[in-house]
Order: sequence, then structure tokens, then C-alpha cells
Amino acid sequence: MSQLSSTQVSEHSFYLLHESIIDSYSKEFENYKKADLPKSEIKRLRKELFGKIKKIGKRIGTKLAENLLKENTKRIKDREEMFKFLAKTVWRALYSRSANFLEKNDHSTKFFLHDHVFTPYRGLSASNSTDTQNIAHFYTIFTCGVIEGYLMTQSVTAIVHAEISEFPKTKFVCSIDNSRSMDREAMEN
Amino acid sequence: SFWQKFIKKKMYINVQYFCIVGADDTPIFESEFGNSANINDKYWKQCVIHSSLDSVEQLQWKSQSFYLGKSIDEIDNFLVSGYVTSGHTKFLLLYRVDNSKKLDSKKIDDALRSFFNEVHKLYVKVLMNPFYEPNSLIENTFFEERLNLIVKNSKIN
Repeated sequence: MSQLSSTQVSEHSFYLLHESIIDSYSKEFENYKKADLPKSEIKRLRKELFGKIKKIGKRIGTKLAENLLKENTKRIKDREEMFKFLAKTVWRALYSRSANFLEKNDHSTKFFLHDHVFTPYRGLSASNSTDTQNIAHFYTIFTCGVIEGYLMTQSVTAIVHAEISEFPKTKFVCSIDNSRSMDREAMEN
Repeated sequence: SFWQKFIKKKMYINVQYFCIVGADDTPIFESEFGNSANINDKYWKQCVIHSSLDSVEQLQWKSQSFYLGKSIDEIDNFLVSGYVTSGHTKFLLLYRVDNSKKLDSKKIDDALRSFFNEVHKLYVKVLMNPFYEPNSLIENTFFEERLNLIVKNSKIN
């Protein structure tokens, strides 16, 4: 039996906590679904409930960003560097590994962060593959919030959501809103 | 202590006023170190600091590092030095340089840089507090005490 290091223990505790939060919110959402409400109301409730998880992620993202960036001697100059830092350092702080692949579109308004084995749901499995994908989607909300929070500290307003084409490969799509951002690229456009 | 009288402390600059301005340009912390003769003096110091925010706005996008320079604004004999964190929180320091003493400009730069680094680390500690709302007033006594210690122990003042 190998002994777990302290970082592994804290990681596992975080995953368990994360799971139980999602569990309790999903159960609450199931209760609302049973109480015959109109579809728009259900949609709104879903957004509200899972928006809470995103808010938590956002708060943590801003604080994590400040904590990790204070040791940088060089300032982050453009969006590519921002995302490289995100893929390497922030991912390492959260999941002890770096993200696998980073893409962007021509105008630097959309960035895609690929992760081949997204750790929080590495061990997830349901009865069939579509079910797995649906459930796995909930586990990405927190990380989307963290990315949004990190970008907020760089004065970039973005909306992040995750696409799971092939479980457990995840693609985080970050759509940057130039009209609401104040970094150098936004000012130039 | 008893021996401090005999230890010659290197005094580079005379710190008057320190202010932290949040990312949305509202002041979240202020502290006065020098003596002001009357209440108008204090308001004047605050006025100088707030007027220097314009130059901070311009410099923060051009600068290579967090530290913006030992003199981003100057009025009379008072200079303002600035530092911007990655989350666009600004630290501003109002100080006075004794013209009689011939001070090496590089030493002033180094002293200010190390001062701001220490304050940055302290500020990140406040941020890590889960009950602290970002960009709100810092009412933490630990922070104040530590800041006074930093000012005392660093080469400035």
C-alpha cells in the first residue's frame, strides 16, 4: 500500500467535494423538474443553479490568478501568452498536469483548450455513452468558471463552455467579447 | 531597542502616504506615514495621489514589469511612485526626497521595487482570505500591522 502525498490527499478531497456539490445541485434540479413547471421556468432554474457553481469557479479563478502571477517577473503581453500560462501553470495548480493542446481562431477572439484526459471525471462511467457525456458536462462547469475568473484578472471578458466530443477528451471554448475587454488586443480593434 | 540608536539606519526617502486603488479605480486602503501640519495637508496628499492615476493608466499598458517607476508624477518636492499588479490593483506611494542629500537614483529604484514586492505578497495574502471581497475596503488589522513593519524595516523612511 503506497502512502498518498499531501497534495494527492488535497486533490482527492477537492474532487469529492466537487462531486458532492454537483450531486446536491442535480438532486435539487430533479425536484424542480418533477414539479410540473413550464419549460422556460425550468431553463431559468437550471441556469441559476449551475450558475452558482460557475460563480464559485470565477471567484477561485481570480484569486488563483493573482496568487500564481505574483511571482512572474515578466508581464503577460498578449492573449497567446495568457492562454499559454493558463494551459501550463493554472492547469498544473488545479490538476497537476498541463493541458494538452491550445488553438485559436484568426481574430484571437476564440480560444480552444484541449485536455485529453480531464481529471475530474476520469473515473466516471454511466450505463451508456450518451448518459456519460450528459453527466460529465456538469463536471466542467466549475473549470469554465475558473477560466473566466482568470481572464477577468487580465481585463478580458469571455464566456467559456465545454464541448465533450469524445469522453474523456474535453475542449474548452473561450469566446472573448472584445467590446467588454480592456486588454491590448481589444483596444486595437 | 537600546542598540537601535547606535545602528545607523540608511534613510533613502521620506515616505508620506501610501494608497491602494482597486481595479475599478476606487481606493481600498490608505495609510499616512509622514506628519501633516493640518487637515488640509492630508487632503492635498490624497489629491496628488489621485491625480497621478492618469499617468498610471497610461503607463500600465506600456510597462514591461509591475513596477512603474520611481517618479510617475511630481508636484513641488513630492514624488509619486506606482506599481500595478496583474489584476490591475494599483499601489501608489507618495514620498519626498531630501534635495540636500545626494541620493543614487538606482538605489531609490531598488528600495522602492523591494518595498512594492513585499506589499504585493501581503496583498495576495489578503486576497486569499475567502471572506474578502475583491476590490472592497481592506479593514484587516493584520495587514496594517504588517505594512507598518514593512515600511519600518525596508530601506525607505
